Amino acid sequence: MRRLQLLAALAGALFLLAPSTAEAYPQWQFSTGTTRCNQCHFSPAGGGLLNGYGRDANGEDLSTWQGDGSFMHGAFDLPKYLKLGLDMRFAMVINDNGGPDQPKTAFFPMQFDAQLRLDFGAFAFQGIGGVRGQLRRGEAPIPAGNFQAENEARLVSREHWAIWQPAAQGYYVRAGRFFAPFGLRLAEHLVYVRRDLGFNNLEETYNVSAGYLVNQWEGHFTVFGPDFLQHGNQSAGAAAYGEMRILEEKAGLGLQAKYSVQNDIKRAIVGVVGKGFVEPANLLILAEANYAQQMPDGTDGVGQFIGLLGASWLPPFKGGLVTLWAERMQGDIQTLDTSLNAVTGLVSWFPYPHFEVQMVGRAQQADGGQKVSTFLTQLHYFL
Amino acid sequence: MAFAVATLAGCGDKDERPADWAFIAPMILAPNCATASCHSPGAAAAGLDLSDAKSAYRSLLGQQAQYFLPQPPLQDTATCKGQRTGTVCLTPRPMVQPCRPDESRIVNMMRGRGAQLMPPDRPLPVADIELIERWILAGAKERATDPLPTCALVPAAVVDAAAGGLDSAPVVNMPDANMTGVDAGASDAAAPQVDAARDAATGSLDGGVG
Repeated sequence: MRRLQLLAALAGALFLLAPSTAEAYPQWQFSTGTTRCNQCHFSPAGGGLLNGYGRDANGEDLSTWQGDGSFMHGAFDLPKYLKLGLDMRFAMVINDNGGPDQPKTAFFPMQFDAQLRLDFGAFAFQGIGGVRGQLRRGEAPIPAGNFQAENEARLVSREHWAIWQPAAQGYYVRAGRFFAPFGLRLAEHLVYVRRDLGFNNLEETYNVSAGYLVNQWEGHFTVFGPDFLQHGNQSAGAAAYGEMRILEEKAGLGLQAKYSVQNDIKRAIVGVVGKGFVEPANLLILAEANYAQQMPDGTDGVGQFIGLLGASWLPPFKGGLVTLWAERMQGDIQTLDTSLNAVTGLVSWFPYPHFEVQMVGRAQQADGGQKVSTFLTQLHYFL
Repeated sequence: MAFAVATLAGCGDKDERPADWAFIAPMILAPNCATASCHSPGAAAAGLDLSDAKSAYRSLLGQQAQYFLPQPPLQDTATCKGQRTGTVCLTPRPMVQPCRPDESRIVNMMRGRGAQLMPPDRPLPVADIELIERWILAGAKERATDPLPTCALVPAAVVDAAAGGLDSAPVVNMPDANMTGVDAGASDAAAPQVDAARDAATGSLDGGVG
C-alpha cells in the first residue's frame, strides 16, 4: 500500500510534465483537406469527442492500417441522439532539471476519460469526466497551519457545456466549462503559448461563447469567469479569436485578443496565428506570436512576448506525423536575460484506428543557464 | 520575424523591474508555481498556495516549510517521510528568511542547492531568482511601505545596496542573536542536516546570494 502511495505521489509530481489529455491535433488542419476544427470534432473550437467524419478519417485516412474508427470499433450502433467515447493514455516520463535528485522517471496512467454527448435537435450537451492524474497524498506531512488542498477529488470534469448550433457551419452559442477558443490550441499544455496565456492543464474556465464558422473564416467571442467548482483558473475576462482561410483554403491567418483579471493582476494579450500547408513537401507550418501586457496591482507592469514557430511533416506513408517547434517566452521585453526558450520534437504513429504511439522530446533553457529536458512516450487508445 | 523582434526588443542590460512583492507574486511565483497540480488553492502542494500575493506571502513567511534530502529514505518520523529518491522533512523555518536570501529555502530550491529544483518542469531565468533575492535582502516586505520586519539591524547601506542590485551588496552575515524566533538559522534543528546535504551536492553555500 505504501509503495503504491509513493508511486502515486511520484506520478503526481511528474503529471505536470505530461501533455494534456485528449485534445485537438491542429497539425491536421489544412494538411488533410479540412479547414474547420469542427469537421472532425463536435466542439466548434476542436478537441475532445470526434464526430462521424473524424472517426471515419481516423479509420480510413490517418492510420497505417485501415479499420473501423467508430465507437467500439463499430461493434454496435448507438442511438442517434447519443455519442460516447472513452480515452486512455499511459505514459512514461523521464525528466531532468539538473537538480540533485534528477533525473526522475515515472510510469503512470495519464488519462482515463469518458466522453458523452446528447443531441436534441439544435441543442446538445457534451461533457468529459475522468480520473485526475494529479495526486499528492503521501508526499510528505503537511502541518495543520499550512494551506490544505481544496480539491482532493480524484474525479474531474474538464469540460461540460451546452450548445445551440443549428448546423456545423453558421452561428453557435455555447455555455459551460471549456477553454475559450484561442491560439493554436495544441494538445501539449506545456507549450508557452498555452501555459503562459492561461490555458494550462485543468485551467478551463466557465464561459459563455458565441461564434460563426464557415469554411472560409471563423470568429469566436468568449466571456469567461473563474472555475468555482474545482478551484482552478480564477481569472475573469473576455477573449476573441478570428481566423481567415487564405490561399485556396490551404492556410489560415488568425488574430486574437484576451483581457483578464485575476487576483492581483490584469493582463491584456494580442496575438497573431498562422498556419499553412506546403503541399509539395507535406509540411504544415505553425506559428503564433503574442504580446502580453502584464499589469500587477500597485506596481509597474511589463510587456511580454510569447511565441511558437514550428512545422509538422506528414511522411509518405499513412499514420505518421512528425512535429518540431521552437518556443520563446520573454518575461520582460525591456530586460535582457528574462527569457525561456524551448525546442520540442514529437513523433506520432497511428498504426490502427483508435491507437496512437507518441514520443516527445523537449529541451528548455532559461537565460542564466537553467535547463530542463523531458522525454515522454505514451500509448493512447480511445473507443 | 516575431522571434527576432522579441529578441532584439529585450535589449536592456539592467533589470529595472521592481523588487516588490506586488510584482514578484503575480509575475514570477503565480505563473511558474501555482499551476493546477502544484501550489494552487486546489492542490496546495507542500501546504503552499502561491496563487495570489496574500496567500503566497503567508505561505513563504508564515508557515512551516518542507525540505528535501537527496539521500536514501530515513525511517519515517513525525516530521520526515521517506520517498524513493530521498526524504522529505518539515522544518519550523519558513521558506523566506527576511534579509537572508542565502538562508531562504525558496532561493535554494530555485537554484537547486541541495534541494529539489523548483519549479521541476521548466527553468527559471536567473534574473527572476535574483529579483526575489533582492526582495528578500531588502526585508521581504509585503508592501513597500511596511516597516522592515526582523532584519531591522541590517545596516542601512546593505538595504540601499539591495535596492540597486546585488552586485554592489555585501553578503548579509548577521549574528544569530540579531534574529528572532524561527528566523534564527542556528536554532533550527534541521539546519545541520540541510547544510550537510546541500554541501554534499554543491560544495558550499558560501557564495552567498550572488
